[in-house]
Amino acid sequence: MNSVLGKLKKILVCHICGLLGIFMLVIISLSTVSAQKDSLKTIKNDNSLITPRYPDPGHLEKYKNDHDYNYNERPMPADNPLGRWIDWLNRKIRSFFGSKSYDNFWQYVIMAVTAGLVLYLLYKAKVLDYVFPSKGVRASADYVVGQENIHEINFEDAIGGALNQKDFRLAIRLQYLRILKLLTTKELIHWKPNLTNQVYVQELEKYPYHPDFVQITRYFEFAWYGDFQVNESGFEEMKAFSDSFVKKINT
Amino acid sequence: MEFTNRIELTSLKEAAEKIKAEIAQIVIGQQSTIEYILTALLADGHILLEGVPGVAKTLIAKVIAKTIDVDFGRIQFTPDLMPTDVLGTSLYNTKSTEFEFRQGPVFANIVLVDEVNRAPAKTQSALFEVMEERQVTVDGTTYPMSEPFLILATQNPVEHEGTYRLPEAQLDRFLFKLNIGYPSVAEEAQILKGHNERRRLSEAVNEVKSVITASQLSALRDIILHVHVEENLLEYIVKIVGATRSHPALFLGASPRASVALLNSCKALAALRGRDFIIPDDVQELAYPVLRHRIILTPEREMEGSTPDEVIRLILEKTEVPR
Repeated sequence: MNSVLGKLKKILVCHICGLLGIFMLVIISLSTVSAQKDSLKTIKNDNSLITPRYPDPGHLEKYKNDHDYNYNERPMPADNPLGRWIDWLNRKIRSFFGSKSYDNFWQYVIMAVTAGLVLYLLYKAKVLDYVFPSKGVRASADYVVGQENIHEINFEDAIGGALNQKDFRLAIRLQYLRILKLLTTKELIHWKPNLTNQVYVQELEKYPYHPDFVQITRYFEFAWYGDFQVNESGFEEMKAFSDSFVKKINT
Repeated sequence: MEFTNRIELTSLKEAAEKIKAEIAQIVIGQQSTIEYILTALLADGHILLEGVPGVAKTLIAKVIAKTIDVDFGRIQFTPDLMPTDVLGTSLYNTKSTEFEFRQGPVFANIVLVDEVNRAPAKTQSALFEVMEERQVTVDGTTYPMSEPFLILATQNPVEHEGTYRLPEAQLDRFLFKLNIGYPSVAEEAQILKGHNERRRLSEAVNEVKSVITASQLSALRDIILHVHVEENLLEYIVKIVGATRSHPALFLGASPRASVALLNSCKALAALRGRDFIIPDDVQELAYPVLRHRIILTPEREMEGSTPDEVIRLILEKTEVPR
């Protein structure tokens, strides 16, 4: 009940305020109109004679002949060979591009070349990249590490050299690389310098000689990455295993 | 030819299996995340877990902390959190008429910093010293942290409402940033089954047992130090991290701290997988969690929707594996 009465009170107050506002507006506008009427009564007609004044023709002629006021005249070129050459070039370009008949073939050629040059410079400055950005990461870093090409190594000589120096660890490494080369040549693996041995192990998973390759990889990884001591018999064991693996692949 | 590990890895493997078994009682799936957390634990590095709400980030952190018998602290990062709320503050003791330092929640062995990116940079910077140097300096006095000290922080992706981007200096102090995704359909079904049959999750978490002690963890960390790294692989790590500094898609590359982090974590992962030496696969696998939070894309790449993981993949594709 109280809330209803409160709302009614608010509505009533609003209406009274509105009416008062309208009343005030009417009073103010009426008083303004009466004030204007009073001021109109005091205005008198001005019938005095107006005499027009014209500039002296002699003065006008003097100004017309003055260089300082001639805005159509081109500025004089600087009094030196470079200034004269720039002025000559400027005149040639103006006359070339100022042709209104558009019947000059070379005009179009030079315009096209200029537009092409501007676009090329924008392209080189990579300004267009902001307008037409490329999608995704295609960054190709130029820090590529030097790659050892297994197809260029003479394995017979290299393994022979390692054995002569009794470096059996290196001999195992070369033997393993030789196997990788063979698998690549036979298109059983996809050789890439950034791929690890375990990737190649997975690639051979579907073939029956997969367990043999796992074992050969184990030899290599323990000898090369693990730095385990390898003697001649150890190398011969690995070589025998890999020779049998090669035979399986070839059959 | 028989190859047997030159260092004893059995105790490490057993401890890892025990921890995994305890976690598996509560957390379904997320095996690789758990393996990486164990790797960081062994490599003595802090971990940042990122994922959308509801993918068990906090749960994983809590359960891992419970499996190790050490002090556990938790700080819920909020926008009004102050550095003193984290580190502690000096209070005036009216009896002794002297100021006394009251340690903050960061003084624990394993600290869960929940929703770390909801606090502003001022509070984040309070963690710089404690994360890197394992000590807190207040009022001219330095308080060393007890070993082990590990911060497990969770955060929502920065695109989410009410989050701040963490300062680069702080991100660099995290060994790993692990992205936690949604579980598979089978895993989610198993989660529901567990919730349907089991009692309350909080009770189940309370029942998780501690399976290793602080001294045992310290001994396991000593083992990691002896994992062998071939010199070519050191060079491989340097090339990968170095490539982030000149890559056209990156505004900021990774620091030398990242190289050290990658090396240490590779050693820990190799030992967890039963090897006493690292192989290029370890480096390639851990390059993502180690580098993804340490590199910043150029604004153009970011606007194109590229991710740090894509750039890391490109770098790995361009770097020859030592053989």
